[in-house]
Amino acid sequence: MNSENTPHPGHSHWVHRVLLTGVAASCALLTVGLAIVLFRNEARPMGPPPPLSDVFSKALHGRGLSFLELGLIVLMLTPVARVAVLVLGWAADRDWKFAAIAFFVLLLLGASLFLGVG
Amino acid sequence: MYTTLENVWWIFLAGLGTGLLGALLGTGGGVFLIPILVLGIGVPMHFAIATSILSVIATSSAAAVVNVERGTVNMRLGMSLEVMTALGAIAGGIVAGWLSASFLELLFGLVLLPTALLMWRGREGSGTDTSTFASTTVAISTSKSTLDGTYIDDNTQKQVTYHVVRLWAGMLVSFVAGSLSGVLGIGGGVFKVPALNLLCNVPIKAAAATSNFMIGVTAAASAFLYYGRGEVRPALTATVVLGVLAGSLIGTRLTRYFSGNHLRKLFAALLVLVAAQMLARSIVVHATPEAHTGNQT
Repeated sequence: MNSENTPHPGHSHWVHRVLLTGVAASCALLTVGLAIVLFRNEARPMGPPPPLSDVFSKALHGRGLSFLELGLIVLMLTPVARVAVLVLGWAADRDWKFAAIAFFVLLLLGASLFLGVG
Repeated sequence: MYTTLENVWWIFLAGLGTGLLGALLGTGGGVFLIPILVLGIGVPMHFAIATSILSVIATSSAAAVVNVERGTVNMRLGMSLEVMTALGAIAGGIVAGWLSASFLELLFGLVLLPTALLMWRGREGSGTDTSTFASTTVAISTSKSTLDGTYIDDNTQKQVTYHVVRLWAGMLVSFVAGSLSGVLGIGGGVFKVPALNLLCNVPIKAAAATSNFMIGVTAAASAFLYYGRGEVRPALTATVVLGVLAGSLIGTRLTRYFSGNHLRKLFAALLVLVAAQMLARSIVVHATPEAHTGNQT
């Protein structure tokens, strides 16, 4: 067996934690938001989503749609966070080749984020 | 309004059924979800694709939580291929914004046909990793690469070590799968898993786990584009995502009681019917309004 190629247990552990936290947090936000939206009959106008600052301020006032937006944003950022963890993990191991590949994937996700909501 | 107190349970059930089927059949479920949303609930195609992409992120992340701990995910191989899937997904996500709903439905219907064929054929050796890989590994173990992987097979409790070959083929298929994911909102695992298995010599369990691991990043790459265009409808997507996650959770526990073979063939046949309906709708009876105004959740 090539022990060099066995995934670093620490990386797996951190990837596991990041994914679990992301999915759990987004589920909680989506559940709360959905309950509020349905019972208060809130609706988002057609068109682009509201700015993040609005989402945060309205979430503090208990607006269900803002909880939904936050839940969706957390969900979309969960795979991004997973890639970031691997960039750091491989860089810490001085595995520069895979740290660079992961960093490139992170840049692509950043470009998509910029193109989409930037 | 797509999600109301009256229909929320139907939408949740659609997500639940999709997640359940996805877990039982080993697919992402997008191929079932989009037709249900479009044909069953009347959601416009672009919104259905965006909803599917978000549900793909959820199921991929939830499945990876388990697979990463098990060690079946080859993270180095997955990350290398994610370069191509992310590029494809971004290109697909941009292009999807220019395409009409009827063209997307036509394309979706056409992609469902090879998907149904691959589903009908199934994944050979999906129960256990065969000795083919073990012997292959021994034969070529002199040329180790940083992409090679190893894991413990749950069924046999034996260590499986494999040597990845023809990375270029995996990258090519990954780009195509990423593009399809970006345009049509499907995970693309149905194309990637056989390619990784047959072309790159990755055992089926590692191929499925690695493909699933990649799908989250692929979907995220196009999700931002859909979100920015306002095509991710919050309440609809939240209901579907919660349903899909619940369905996946139940489906994962039920897999041991179901023989995937008959179920897979039944749904492969169903996919052909759905494909025909999507094609007919896109060509003959397309009546989905393209302009959406007012408030819709």
